[in-house]
Amino acid sequence: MSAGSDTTIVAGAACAATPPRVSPRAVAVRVLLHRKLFMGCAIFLVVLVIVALFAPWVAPYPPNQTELLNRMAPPSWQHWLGTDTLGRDTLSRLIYGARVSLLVGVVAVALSASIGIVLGTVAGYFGRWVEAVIMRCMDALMTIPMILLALTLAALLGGGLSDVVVAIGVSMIPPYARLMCAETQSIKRKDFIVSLRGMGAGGWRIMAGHVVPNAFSHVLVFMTMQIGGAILAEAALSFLGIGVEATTPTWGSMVADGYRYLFTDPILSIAPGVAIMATVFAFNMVGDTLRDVLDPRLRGTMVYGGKRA
Amino acid sequence: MTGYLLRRLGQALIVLFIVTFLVFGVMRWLPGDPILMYLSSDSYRITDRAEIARMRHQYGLDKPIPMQYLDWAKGVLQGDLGKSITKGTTVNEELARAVPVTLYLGIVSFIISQLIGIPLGILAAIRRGTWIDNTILVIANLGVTAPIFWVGIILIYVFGLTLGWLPIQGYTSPFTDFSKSVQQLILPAFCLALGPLAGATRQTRSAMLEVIHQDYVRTAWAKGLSERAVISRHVVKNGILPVVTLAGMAVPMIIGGAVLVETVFNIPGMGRLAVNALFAKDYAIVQGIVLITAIAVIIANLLVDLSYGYLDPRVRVA
Repeated sequence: MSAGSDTTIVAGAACAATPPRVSPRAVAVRVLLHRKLFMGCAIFLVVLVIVALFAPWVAPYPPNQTELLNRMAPPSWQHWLGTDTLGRDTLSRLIYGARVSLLVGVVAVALSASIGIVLGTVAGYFGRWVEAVIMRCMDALMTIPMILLALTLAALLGGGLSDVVVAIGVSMIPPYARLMCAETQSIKRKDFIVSLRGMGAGGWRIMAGHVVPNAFSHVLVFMTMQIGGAILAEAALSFLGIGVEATTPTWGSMVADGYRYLFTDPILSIAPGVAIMATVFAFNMVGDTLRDVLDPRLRGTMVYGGKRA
Repeated sequence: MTGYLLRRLGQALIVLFIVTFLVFGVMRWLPGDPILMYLSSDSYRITDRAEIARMRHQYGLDKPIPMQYLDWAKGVLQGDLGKSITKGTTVNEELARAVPVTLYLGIVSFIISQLIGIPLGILAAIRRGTWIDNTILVIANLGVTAPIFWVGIILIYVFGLTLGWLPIQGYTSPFTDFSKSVQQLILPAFCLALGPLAGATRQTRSAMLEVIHQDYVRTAWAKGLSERAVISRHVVKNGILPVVTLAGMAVPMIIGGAVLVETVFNIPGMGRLAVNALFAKDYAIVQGIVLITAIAVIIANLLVDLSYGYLDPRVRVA
């Protein structure tokens, strides 16, 4: 845990101060444990990650193994979700598809967050023309709809897995830069930064060692919510056919493949869509709840131990 | 107020300038030679170097990149977006065909999203914590999480294939056959409206909750006003400002969504044109579309700023 989340939670615990004092982190953890929806989503995500990691052992069939005599099979005990047009097991492909979605979601968000944090912190800390240049560029990027930008970049780069990650990551930079710029502007006016500067700490050291850690809890919440957005973007690119290689099963391309057989075999399209929706919903829910717990303004409404904290 | 608007206008122009730079630079520096792509995609292969050089010259691709940018920018300023390499038409012609379609679809979706989303948000806020609020929130969350192309497919399956109520795809201009046009528009417009609708609902709900516990609202209740009067005159009027901002952000959302919805529903609009042009590596069309989109978004943002001045007297003074 970073120093940043410590300070925010301490502030919150002070508001809710009821002796005997509990450790602020324990308060946050207990609040999270009491939220059924949050726990449901968190457990779902953990299971999903495990299933994706151990896909070769979990999936009943290899994702590209074709059974030409058993094409378009309806759900059965052998194939829980049936088979597709080449006789490939839908459930196995869904399980392997989770790998791509999670990988792209997490890596693209990490990429956009790290670039956005650097740009936003530098812009917010130095202000003036540095801020003007960086933030106007971010404004310019934001005028292009995210999906159109990601699509264009992916198409121009070529469209392998890493190109998709880069395309989605780059198109998601601006909101981080904006968030971080605003955070930095408020943090740099605080007394401890002013005194650090008075003691002779350099700009880069203040930014990397103090500004970023103090803003990190907000960024972390935002990152959690953006993973869902990145997964949706990857699915959209795969659906349009500018995605990962055609042989790799992805949820988006499965929806596209199933679309052609919608009338005869709707489950081919519906199942991967449900998988996308459930995953994105879970990430958004976890992010929402984390924000509620970490944001002091919303903390008044949270229930702790059955009573209002 | 005028000073504020002039400053915002100046910023908008700078942003637009950076957009042209980005659009042009990214298209040119990334890999993929459009001429070679075009020639190799043709049914017969031309390997004649002279022919390649001639085409490169014809499209001005043999000049240094800064010169190409200046040529392009000069054309853009004169309203000429260049020539499509794969279609043999001008970008203006292609956009003139596609933009009205997307505009029609987009405006209808925007109206649907705001007309449904804002009242739902208000309803959720004043019935906070009840089953009404919870139901609305779940719907709004699903609207944000469901992939838009998949929602389109589900709509087609349910209303087109299973129930047979509506046509599953295609586009007809409202001027040639109005009733057919409306029938074909219902599914894609709702599909496209879902994201902004969910956004409007969530934003309105939280904006209303911000003001609903203010002292002046309590005063309004205390002096015996009806619920309708309190909500419409005091809560909504004071809380609506953040909702306007989000309405401005619905514009990029709708254009982005149109890329997917137009593909699913086979509508010959700007979004599908962009996808096809990207597959064909037809830079000029993509540049034109991104530029038009950016201008639309910038104008929407300016309108939001303008309406701030209208809705919030404090901005007018500052």
